[in-house]
Amino acid sequence: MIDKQTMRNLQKLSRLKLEPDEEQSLASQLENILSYFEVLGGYDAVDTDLKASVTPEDLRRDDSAPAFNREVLESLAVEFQDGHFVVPRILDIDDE
Amino acid sequence: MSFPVFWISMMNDRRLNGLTLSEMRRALQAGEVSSVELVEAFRNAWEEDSSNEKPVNGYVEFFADAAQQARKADEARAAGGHGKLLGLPIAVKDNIQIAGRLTTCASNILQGYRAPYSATVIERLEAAGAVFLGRANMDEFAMGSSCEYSCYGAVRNPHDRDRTAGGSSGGSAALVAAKQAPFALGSDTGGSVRLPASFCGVYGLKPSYGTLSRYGLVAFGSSLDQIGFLARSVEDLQLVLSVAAAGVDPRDQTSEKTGFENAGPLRARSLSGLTIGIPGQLVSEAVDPQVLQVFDEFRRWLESAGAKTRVISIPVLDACVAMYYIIAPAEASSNLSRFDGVKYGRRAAGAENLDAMYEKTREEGFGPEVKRRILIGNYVLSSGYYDAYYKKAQGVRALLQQRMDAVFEEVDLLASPTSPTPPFRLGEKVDDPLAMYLTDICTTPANLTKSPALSLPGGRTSDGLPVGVQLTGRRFCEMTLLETAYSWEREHAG
Amino acid sequence: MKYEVVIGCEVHVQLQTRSKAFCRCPNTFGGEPNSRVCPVCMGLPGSLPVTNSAMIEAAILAGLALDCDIAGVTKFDRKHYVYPDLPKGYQISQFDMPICTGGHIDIPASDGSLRRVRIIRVHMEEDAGKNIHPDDGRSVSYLDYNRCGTPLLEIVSEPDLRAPQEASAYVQAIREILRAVGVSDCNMEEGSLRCDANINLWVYEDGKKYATPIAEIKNMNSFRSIRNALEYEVKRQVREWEQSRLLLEVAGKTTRGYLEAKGITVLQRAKEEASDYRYFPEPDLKPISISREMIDALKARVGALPAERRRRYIGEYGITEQDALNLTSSAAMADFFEAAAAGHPEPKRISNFILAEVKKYLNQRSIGVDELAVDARAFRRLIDLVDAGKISGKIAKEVFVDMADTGKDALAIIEEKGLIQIDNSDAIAQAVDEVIVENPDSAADYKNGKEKAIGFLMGQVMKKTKGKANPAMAIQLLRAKLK
Ligand SMILES: [Mg+2]
Ligand SMILES: [Zn+2]
Repeated sequence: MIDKQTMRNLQKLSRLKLEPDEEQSLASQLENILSYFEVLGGYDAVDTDLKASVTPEDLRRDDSAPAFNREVLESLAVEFQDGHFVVPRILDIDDE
Repeated sequence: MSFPVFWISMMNDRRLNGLTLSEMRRALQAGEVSSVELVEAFRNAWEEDSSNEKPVNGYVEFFADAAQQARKADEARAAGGHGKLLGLPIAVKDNIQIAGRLTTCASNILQGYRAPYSATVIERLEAAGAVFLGRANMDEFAMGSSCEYSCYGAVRNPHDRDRTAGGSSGGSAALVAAKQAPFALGSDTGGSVRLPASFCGVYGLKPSYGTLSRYGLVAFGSSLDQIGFLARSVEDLQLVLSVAAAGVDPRDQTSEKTGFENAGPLRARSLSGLTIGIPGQLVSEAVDPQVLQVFDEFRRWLESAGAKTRVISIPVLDACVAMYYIIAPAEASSNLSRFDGVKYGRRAAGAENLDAMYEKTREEGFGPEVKRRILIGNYVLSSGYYDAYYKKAQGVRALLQQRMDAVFEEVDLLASPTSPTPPFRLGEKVDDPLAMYLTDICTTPANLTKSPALSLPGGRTSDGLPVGVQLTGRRFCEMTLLETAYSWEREHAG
Repeated sequence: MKYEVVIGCEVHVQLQTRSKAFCRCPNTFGGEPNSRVCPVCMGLPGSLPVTNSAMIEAAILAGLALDCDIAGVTKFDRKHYVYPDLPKGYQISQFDMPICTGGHIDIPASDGSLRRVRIIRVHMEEDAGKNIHPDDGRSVSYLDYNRCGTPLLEIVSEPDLRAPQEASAYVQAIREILRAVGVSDCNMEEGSLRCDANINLWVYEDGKKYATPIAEIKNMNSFRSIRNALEYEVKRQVREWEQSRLLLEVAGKTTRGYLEAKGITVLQRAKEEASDYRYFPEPDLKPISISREMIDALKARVGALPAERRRRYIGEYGITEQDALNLTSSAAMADFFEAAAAGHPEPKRISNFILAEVKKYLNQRSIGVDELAVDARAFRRLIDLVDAGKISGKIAKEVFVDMADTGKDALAIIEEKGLIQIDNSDAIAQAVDEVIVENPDSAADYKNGKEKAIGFLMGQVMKKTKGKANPAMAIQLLRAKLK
């Protein structure tokens, strides 16, 4: 069930890169856990109800409040320059 | 059970440490003790324990300015201040943010992260005058049932230092049990307040989902998370609840109006007229006999206090651990995807490009259990598996809700053990995730149904290990839980 | 070989609200980088979204304006993907219960007919931040999160468009409608309206139909670039088909970016690496129920929309479909027409004048009707003068140009220039007599039964009177004298 390809795909989705031995032990643990989940098969699912809903009138009024002080951001950031967060170069032209 | 005031003046640190929050409150009001003295007593207890060969390891930081906060509270009192929690010391789990202080969720990925804002619950406690002692140890990102998955090392059970304190709020529970704090905030996603309360022999309350604002609590399983309390008395639970639950928080759309802020002082009540259901699934042969024995005594007490008890069958409870370990990791994998080293927290050094930076940061930053749950979560949400796992789990969760609604038509409360076993040994389950997950069999239903649940110290095993008993009610019936527990406490505590 | 171009559009529109979608940061354009962010839109640990009611209202207004059904219950979902401009690692969006479904808009098709473009859905989501690639020689990118959390509508059409200019007209129509209901300024330069298009070809060959691979074109940030990018893409796909005969079933969908400077599209992502968004319902937000009453109240605010106006023009005024479409090409034009035609017995005549003379004037000067020096009431006074027989329709055309050039009133102009129509039968009779004398051949032709000759003689009468003769009187007199 949890083959190498699945493990690789999961790591990609998770943005995790596991060591080979870590990968192997996690795969067998996952398999074990997933087979435990089969207990759910014995129960009928009920439609998840959407009754607990709000109306637009209950939602936040559209008024604005002052934003963050930029010094706070800078103190959080790993790398900050000219008012921007800095990351290694993004390599595509996918942005405007 | 309050101490006569004249005793207190004669108390040494050790006696001060043993007071409940409410007793401290009366002593502070009577001028018999200062907040500074209280804080110093807890600091001394913590320092003393830290030099122990096997320290409890409940604090990941004892705030250097705790005494200073206490001094301010004492000054405020002298100036006529009368906040409900004025000068009362409280420890805070390391996933609840206090502005300007570190919040790391016991994870390497948040090393050095200083919260830029306070959680709503913290703001309310602060406004009522509370003093924050320090940050309590926990399982990384609140994922664990033993407090062994912390980047600061495992928490030890004060009753047996080779055993776990339970998790994930193990630090909070151990601090209260070890008298290093009189009260602590925890968080409970699948039993994380109640399980350590049971293992450490203290009271633990997980309020109904929506009672306390989640704003500022670092999210784990967003549809399950709730801040909870670890305390030495039921009165203390009610005291802090009345402050923290003060109305809907406009910053949390899932918070609800409860009216708990207006609840009067707790009264012991007769249990006659109460019908208490005991789910057969949670008192089966799978449960440790010593736990069953403690629970049986509790059941006899319920009867003697006037309640009717009856064993009921709720088969779907057998599916709760599976539901929980699908839904919680799914939400967690989503919530934790923000920790990527781009904006805050830790960024791995030496990554040659963006993708490598993400992977290295997360690989180095997350511990084994967090990685495991991120992988499970992404698995159950991924295309091709979503329907079979995530959607199915939500559907069975809705079925559970229907069943529980029907059960609460017939009974007022449910009673069960809090944990199927007494505190287990450190290292016993750490390499067997499924065994660890099954520890949560009794506690996950309340999170899945958004119900309030409380663990009270029911008794001890022959080895003197604490055993907890859990009461669960319908959503927002916290007061019935507290009053029932209070009645029990009046007869058994001390 | 014969081929048909197939285009569907995904249009993203930023909503004009005071605050962002899920936090109270100001929703404005520009500003110092990272100056409009807070724990919520930055996705800081522990923060929670709180839905802006104005976003829901705007989405309903837009949905009504696009003839959509509004959901009774709608909810938000999390859409997961990793990109540095997306601070939470997921976007709050809508998956299986969008707020609006099943609308349509009509646009002029490339063949002159009316093209109905079906709208599959309109859903709400939050915008991401912006990446900047500084030219400082370092291999880094900068991130500005100001735009993060801006409320967006995503409008998804069926692949009903059949030409690049139709796609451009479709996006213009969307802009027109959303501006009319006031939910967005749809400013393409500032990125408040952005369009991605899916395009491929249906090739008909030997009685069979083949579909070529779909390309999703991004980065088109003007109407011109939509047209140019898609025109380039049509040529490229025809060429590709001829060379490789690649089929949709085999090659799937690719993503291409438009390089405006070069006028070409370039491959960004080959066959969509099955992006797995792992949608699930946003647990931090409750489902929203929308009442019938609220929808009805908003319906009243939507007011006269192009489609509704066209229905009225065609049904009540007897205006042709094509003319109705032209009159509603902008709200300002439709407003102008309606104000000018108010209470007039023949709105069609007013429509004809506007579509011929007014449009010509606007086109020549490249201005909009709202920039015209003649407002609808002044324009109506001109028409009234024609109706009253003071000037002829022909003179009215000249007077209109004068009015538009000078801003003067019609009456002032015709008095000034002595253009008032000659109603005096003696004066007209004199001109008629002169024309008959000067054109004996034509007069004889008419007398011999050549009806057409009267037209020429009328022209001569009008010429002699500088167009001022009352045409009805002139023709009557001509016929009488030639009996
Ligand atoms: Mg979108
Ligand atoms: Zn914000």
